Amino acid sequence: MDRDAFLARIRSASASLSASSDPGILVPEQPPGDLVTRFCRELEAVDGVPHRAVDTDDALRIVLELMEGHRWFMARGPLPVPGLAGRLIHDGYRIMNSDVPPDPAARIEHQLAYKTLEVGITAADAALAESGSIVVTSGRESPRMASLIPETHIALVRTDQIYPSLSHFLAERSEVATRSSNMVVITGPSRTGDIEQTLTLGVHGPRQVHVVLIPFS
Amino acid sequence: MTSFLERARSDIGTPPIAALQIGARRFSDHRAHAVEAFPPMDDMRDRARAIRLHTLANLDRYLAQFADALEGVGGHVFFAADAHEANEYVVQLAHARNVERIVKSKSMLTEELHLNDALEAEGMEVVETDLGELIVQLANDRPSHIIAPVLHKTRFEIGTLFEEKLGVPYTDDPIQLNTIARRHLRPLFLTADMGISGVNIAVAQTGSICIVTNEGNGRLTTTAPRIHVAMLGAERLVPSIGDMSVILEVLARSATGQKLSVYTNVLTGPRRPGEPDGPDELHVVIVDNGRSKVLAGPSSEILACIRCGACLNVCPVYRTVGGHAYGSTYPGPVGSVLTPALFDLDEWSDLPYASTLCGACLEVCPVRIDIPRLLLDQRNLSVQTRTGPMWMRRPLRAYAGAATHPGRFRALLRAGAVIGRLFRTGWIRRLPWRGAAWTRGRDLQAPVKSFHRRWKERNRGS
Repeated sequence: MDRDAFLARIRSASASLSASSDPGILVPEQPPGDLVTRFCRELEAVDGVPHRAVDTDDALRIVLELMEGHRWFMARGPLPVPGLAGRLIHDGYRIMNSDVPPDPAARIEHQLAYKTLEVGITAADAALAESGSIVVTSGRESPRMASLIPETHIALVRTDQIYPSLSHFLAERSEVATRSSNMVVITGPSRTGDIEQTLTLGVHGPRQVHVVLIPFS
Repeated sequence: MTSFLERARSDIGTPPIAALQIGARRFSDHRAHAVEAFPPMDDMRDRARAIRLHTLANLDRYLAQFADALEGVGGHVFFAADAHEANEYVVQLAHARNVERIVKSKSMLTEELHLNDALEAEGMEVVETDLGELIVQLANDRPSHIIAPVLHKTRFEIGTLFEEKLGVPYTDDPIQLNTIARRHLRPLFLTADMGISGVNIAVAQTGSICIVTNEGNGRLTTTAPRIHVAMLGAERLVPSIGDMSVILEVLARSATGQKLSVYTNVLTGPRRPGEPDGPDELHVVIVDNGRSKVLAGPSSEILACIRCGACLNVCPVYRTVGGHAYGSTYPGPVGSVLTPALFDLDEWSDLPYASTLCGACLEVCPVRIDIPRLLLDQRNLSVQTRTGPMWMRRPLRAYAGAATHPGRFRALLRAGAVIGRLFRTGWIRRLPWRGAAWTRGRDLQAPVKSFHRRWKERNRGS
């Protein structure tokens, strides 16, 4: 249907409805308490694993520990731990190319290689204390697949990036939602309850979600 | 077509309904806990309602704004008047881009449109990727719940189904079944040419669409294939990103008792220059298919619905008869309003009666839709337009004839009190002759002496 005709039909249909003004947003009051503690508790409640690093060196150590036993990883830059990807490659881990080629056949061939990918390492743009969520956006060096396709997702986030809740984050930083083609709010590992409501982790997305918290210095 | 009562009769008490009952109860328990733990819930519900009603009253303006914004970031918009136009657009697009394999994430709108049938008729392979929807597709079944499609299936049935259709050894362990599905679907995701999704919330100001899933299939569907097609019901808009966050605060809590679903995915246009992955093309098909008719009618409030499914989980009728008895894409209280309003009141005239009017749906609705009133309005309309079932209209007319004349009414009560003594249990299970239609779906309370009369007798005695 032609756009104008479609919209005209909607306009005449809604003519009898009272045109109230835009009510605007409402940000719920945040409960008291330390954001870091609250975030860790809530992440655990959704089967994610928080790690509190004391500094960036400690964060690097934590990531290296989590990488043990794995081989292929995809990293998203820039990460808040300088030199992390280089160190992993130096230690013998293989990095997966994340640039999907434009040709349809090449695209499919490229993506099929993802089946060997084991770990995705990304920065998070924010963490949300109330729900234990992290906010991850796509970008020039930030493939969507890194937080989606491997069995293990390791996210790095600075403690000053923790917001009380999604509403608080979007009220302050709404531009983050649209500055790239994709912003995803991730709340724990992929899950389903479709079969007799039995909780099962890692349906299509990662089975394990580790969040490494790095103090702001 | 069969009637609601006939369909319900054949389902009540069967193992699938028992499974569904447990599931629905668990969902509503989870919701209750989540709401209790979130003191601002009532205020957020009020705000969510205000946002949705405001959007509906200005829907043409917000739709235009959404389309402009989406085109501004490189997306394509198509306005579809009905199911035929919507399906035709997707089919033509698939042909033009040499699409062979299509992966789909869960969308009730595509169920409503029968989009899969249209694509399969053209020789395309369509794969449902939500675990529940995959099971429905393999079993050639229909979803019984708007957010949990196989609430009616046991793990034993699913085990047998996977053994038959996927050629794997039998298991009824949900975790193993999940692993089988993951392995089965992974290569299909990575090699699909097109991904089709629904939309939970569309944001007018930015042209963004928000898709909420727990499994991650929504993210894969909208990331791996080179073309993403999103099917958007014309009513599912909010003005801004901030408004979206208000809806998100109440959506998952009402649906499953989660604070947020695992993946709240916001997409603004296709992959941008320099971005390593994501679809090269994004098409949003905005679908009317009866929505403008609903918007103009007495049930317009139902379009504020955000499809959380909370009203299904608490409904004593839904819990007893299951989702299939409703016979339409949208079951439960919301479906009983939406189905006759969207399609044809004549054909679906028995759905507004598939309710006890207990009000549980209104109590849990995150946008406070007065479903009991809307059901009553539709009953009224079906009587006015004489489309309602005869067995319902005749007795009601007879009752109205008595109740509007005090003399007749008193005589009726006196006669009733005498007849009522014949039924010791206080209930009439079966009426004879024409009355049988009334008691086919319900017991009739035996008449008793009026309260007024009992009061007089008691006071005389003391």
